[in-house]
Amino acid sequence: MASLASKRRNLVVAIGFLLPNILGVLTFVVFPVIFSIFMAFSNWDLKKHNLEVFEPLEFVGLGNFVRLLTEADFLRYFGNTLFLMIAIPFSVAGSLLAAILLSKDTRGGGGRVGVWLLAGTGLVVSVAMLTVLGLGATGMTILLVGVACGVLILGMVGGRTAYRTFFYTPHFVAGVATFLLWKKLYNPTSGPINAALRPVLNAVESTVNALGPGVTMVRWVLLGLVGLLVALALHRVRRWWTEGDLGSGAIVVPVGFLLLPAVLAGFWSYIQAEAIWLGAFVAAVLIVEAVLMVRQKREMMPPSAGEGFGNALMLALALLVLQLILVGLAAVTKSLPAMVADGGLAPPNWLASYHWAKPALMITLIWAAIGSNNMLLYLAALTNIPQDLYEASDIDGAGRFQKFWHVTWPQLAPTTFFIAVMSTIYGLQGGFEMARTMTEGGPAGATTVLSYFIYLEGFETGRLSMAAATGWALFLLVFILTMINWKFGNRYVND
Amino acid sequence: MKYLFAVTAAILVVVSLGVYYSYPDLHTDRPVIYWVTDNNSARQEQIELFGEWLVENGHVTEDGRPAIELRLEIDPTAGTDASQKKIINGVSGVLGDVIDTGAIRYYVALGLLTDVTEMAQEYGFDFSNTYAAIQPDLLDIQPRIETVTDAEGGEVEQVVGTAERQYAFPCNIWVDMVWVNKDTFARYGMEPPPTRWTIEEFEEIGREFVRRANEGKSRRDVFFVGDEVPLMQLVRTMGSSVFNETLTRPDVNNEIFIGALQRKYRWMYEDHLIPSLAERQSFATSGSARRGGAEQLLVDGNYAMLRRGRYGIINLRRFQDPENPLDLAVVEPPYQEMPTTLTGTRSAGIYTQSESKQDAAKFLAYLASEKYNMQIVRDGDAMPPNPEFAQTEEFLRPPEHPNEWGTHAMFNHGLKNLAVPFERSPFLLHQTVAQRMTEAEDKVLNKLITPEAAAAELQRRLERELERTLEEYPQRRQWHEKLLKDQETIDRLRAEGKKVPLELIQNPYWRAYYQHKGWAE
Repeated sequence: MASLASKRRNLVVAIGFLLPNILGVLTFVVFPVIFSIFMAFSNWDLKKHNLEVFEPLEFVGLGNFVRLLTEADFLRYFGNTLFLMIAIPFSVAGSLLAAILLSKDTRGGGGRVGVWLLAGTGLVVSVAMLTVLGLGATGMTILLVGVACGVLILGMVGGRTAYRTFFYTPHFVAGVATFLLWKKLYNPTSGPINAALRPVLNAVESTVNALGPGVTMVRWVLLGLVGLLVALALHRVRRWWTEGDLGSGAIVVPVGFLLLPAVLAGFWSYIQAEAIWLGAFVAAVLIVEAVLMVRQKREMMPPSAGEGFGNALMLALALLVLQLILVGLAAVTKSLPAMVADGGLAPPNWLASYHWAKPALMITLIWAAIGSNNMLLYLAALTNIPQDLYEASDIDGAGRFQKFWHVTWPQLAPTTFFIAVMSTIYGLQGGFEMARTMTEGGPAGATTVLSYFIYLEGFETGRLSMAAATGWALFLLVFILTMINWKFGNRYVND
Repeated sequence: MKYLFAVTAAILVVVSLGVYYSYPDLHTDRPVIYWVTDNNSARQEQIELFGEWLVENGHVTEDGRPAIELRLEIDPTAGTDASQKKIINGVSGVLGDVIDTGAIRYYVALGLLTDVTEMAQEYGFDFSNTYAAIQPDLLDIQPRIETVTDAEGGEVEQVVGTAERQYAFPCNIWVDMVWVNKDTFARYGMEPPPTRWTIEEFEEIGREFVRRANEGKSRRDVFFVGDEVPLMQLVRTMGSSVFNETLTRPDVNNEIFIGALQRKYRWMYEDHLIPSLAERQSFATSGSARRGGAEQLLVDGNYAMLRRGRYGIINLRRFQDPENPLDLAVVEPPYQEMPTTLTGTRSAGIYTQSESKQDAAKFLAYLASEKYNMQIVRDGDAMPPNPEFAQTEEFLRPPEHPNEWGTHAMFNHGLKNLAVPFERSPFLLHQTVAQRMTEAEDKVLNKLITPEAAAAELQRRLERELERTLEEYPQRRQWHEKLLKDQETIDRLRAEGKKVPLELIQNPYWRAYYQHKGWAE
C-alpha cells in the first residue's frame, strides 16, 4: 500500500510539473488548431467579427474551400510554392554531398598547411595590390576567393570539426537576417554575385562572338545527352524488372519522372522545335523497352507490385535534376548569339525580374538547406554504415563510385526518404520569411507562396476564415504526402 | 530532479513578479497613455512638448506636473494601411491608447478606432483645424439608413444618404511635389524646369537632360527624376481614376489607364527618365529610399529631381555640404489634363478599448496646437496638420536654411490647390486595390503582358473582388444600388452636356476633376 501511495504521490508531483506545459500546449496549440477547423467552415472575417462588432457567424460548409479551388490566385500561388520546391532535390543532394565531404578527415600535415598559408598570404597581398592599382571594382569577387581560401586553411588546421561548424552556422542564424544579407548579395550592380558573374559573362560573350552562330549546335549535343540519359535509365529499369528487383506497380511514377523533362521541353517556347526530336527519340526508346519487357520473361519470381520503388524513384529524381539542367543549358545555348547581339550578356536583376526572382529564392533555399539538419542526419547515417560492408566491397574490387552506389546509397535510403518527405512538408509550408523579407511576394506575385498568401488573407484583408481554409488545404496536401511516405517509405526502407 | 524543477518554478515565479512590479505603470501617480507610433527620433521631443502643452493648458497635477504621462509603444509599420502588430494587438484588446494609422477605414472596420467626431468638437481638433484635402482620409463613410413607408404603406429600411464620422487627426501630412537640384541642371548647361509644366515638356526636357548627363558613359548613372513615379499619379493627371464617380465600379480598362502604363514603361526602359527598380537597387547607397538613399542621390547629382514630400528636407539637410548648401527649388508634378498630386497622412486615432479615451483626446488636441505644429515646421517632417502654421515666417523662410526659402511654400500650395487624396471605395479594400495594381504594373514592366492585357485583367480582378465584397456584406448591396442610380444620373447628365451636382460624386478625384473642368454644379 505504501508503494501505491508513493506512486500516486509521484504521479501528482509529475502532473503538477507537467501541467503548465500541458496547459500551454492545450491553449496555444491544440485549441487554435481545433478552432481553426471551425473557422475554415465559417465566414469569420475580422471586419465583421471583432471586439466592437460581432455579427452572427455563419456556417458556410465547404464554401471557403470551393472558393479557394476556383480562385486563380490560390492556384497561382500554389504553383509558385511547387516551383520553389524544385529546390528540394538539389538541397538533398547538396546535404548528402556536404555530409560525405564532412565525414572525411581534412586535417592537413604541417607542410601542407604551410603551403596553403603561404598561398593565402600571397593571394591577400595580390588583392591589396590590385585594389591599390585601381581594380577595386572586382574587390568583392577577390574577397570571396580569399574567403574560400581561408575556409580551406581553416579545414586543414581545424579538421572536419571546423568544417562541420562552418557548414552548420547558417542554421543558427535567424532567417530574416540571412535573407536580408542575401538581398544585398543579389544587388544587381553592387552585389558580389553579379560582380563575380560579370567577368564570366564577358568571357562567354567573347567566346560566342569568336565562334559565331555555330555555337547553337551545342544544344543538339546537350539534348542528345538528355536522350541518352533517359535511354540508359529505362534500360536500367527494365533490367531491375527482369531481375525481379522492381515490381510492376513501382515502375509508373519513376518512369513518369524520367520522361518529364522531355515533356516539359515541348511546352517551353525557347526550345520547342528541338524538343519534338527529343520527344520522338524518348518515345521510341520507351516503346522499345516496353516491348522488350513484354517479350522477356522475368528471371525470378515476380516481386510485389511496389518492390524497389524507392531505388527507382531515387534514380529518376537524380536524373530529373540532371536532365532539367541539360535542357536549360540547351535553351540558353540556342539563344546565346541572339542575346549577345542584343546588347550583350548582362547579369540578372535577381529580385526585380519576374523570371529571376523565383530562381534567386531557390538558390537561397538550397544554400540554407544544405547545411541544415538534413546534413546532420546524413552525417549520423554515414557513421552508422557498417565498415565491413566497405571491406567486403573492397575485396570484390569495387571502385569509389560503385561503393557509393551499392553500399552507401542503399544504406542511406531510409534517411534519404525521411529527408525527402520532411523537406517536401517544409517546402509546402515554408517561404513566408523569404517572400516577406526579400520580395514582398513580387514582382507581379512571382514569389508569393501559400504561407504568404495565408498572411495576406488573414491580415491584409481580415478574412480569417479563408486564411484558415488555406491552412487546412495545405495540411491536406501535407497529409497526403505523409500517407505516401507511410505507404512506400516503409517498404523502401525495408528493401 | 523534482527539487530542481521546484526550485526552477520558484525562480520563475519570483522573476515574473519582479518583472510585473518593475512595470512603469505601477510607479506613477498619473494616468499613463501609450502612443503606438514609429521609431522616429522626433517622438521624444514631441512627448516633452506634450507635457509642456498640458501644463500651459492647465492639465496639471496638484504639484503642477503634467496631468498625463505619455509613453511610446514602437511599431515600425505605424502609418501603414495594414500593420500586423496593430491588427493582432488591436483585435486581442491590448493595443496602446493612441494609435498611428495610415488610411483609417480598415482599422475602423476592424473595430480598432473610436469615433471622435464629438470629442473633436469638444477638444478643438475637428476638421476646421486641418487641410480640406486630407479630410477624406480621416473619415469613415457609412450608409444612412432610415425607415420609410413604401408605396403599399409598409415600412422598409432604405439608404437615404451617407453619414461621415471623424476617427483621427493628422500627425503630419505628406504631399508629393518635385524637389529640384538646380546645381545639377547647371552642370549640364540646362535651365531648371518651370513651376508648372506639362507631361510633354517633362519628356522633352528629360530626354535632353539624360542625353547630356550620360553621354559617353558605359553605364547610365544619372536620371531625370529619382525614385518611383506612382502609376496612380500618372493616371490621374492624364484624366482618369481607378474608380468611377460613385466608387461603385473599378474603371481601369480604358485608354487613359493603358496610356499611363505605356508611358511609365517608356519613361523607365526607353527614355530612361526614371530609374527602374534594378537601377534604383544598384545605387550603392547606404539605405532604402526612406532612410535617405534617394535624397543622397539628389544631392550627389544622380537624380536631377526627386518626387518627395516636404519630409525629404530632413535628409537633404543631412547630406548636403553645410559650407556649400544646395540650390534647391520645388516644382509641381508635370500634368496633362489636370494639375494634381497625391497626398496622405500619418494620423492618430484613439483605440476603442482604451480606458483613457479622454486623456487620449487631449493628445489629439495637442496635435492641432501651435506647440506640436511648430515642432513639425522646424523638424521638416512633412506638413504641419494645421494650415495656419504653414503661413508662419519660420515655415516659409527657415532662418538657418536660406537655400530652402521658396521651397516650403510650394508644399502649402500643393496641399491647398493640387492635392487630392486617394479614392477609396467602400466596396473594396484599398490595400487589395493597391496590391492588384502593383501586380498589373509589375507584369507590364517585366514585359509579361501588354498594357492592354494588364488593364483588362486588372479590371476583371477588381470587379470580382467587388462582387465578393457585396456577397460577403449583403447589407451594402442596397447602398451600392443607390449609388449605381446616382452613377446613371451622372452619366446621363454628362451625355446631355449638363453640369453634375457635386453631392452625387463620391470619388474625391472626380470631384476635383469636375470642378477643374467646370462640369460641377
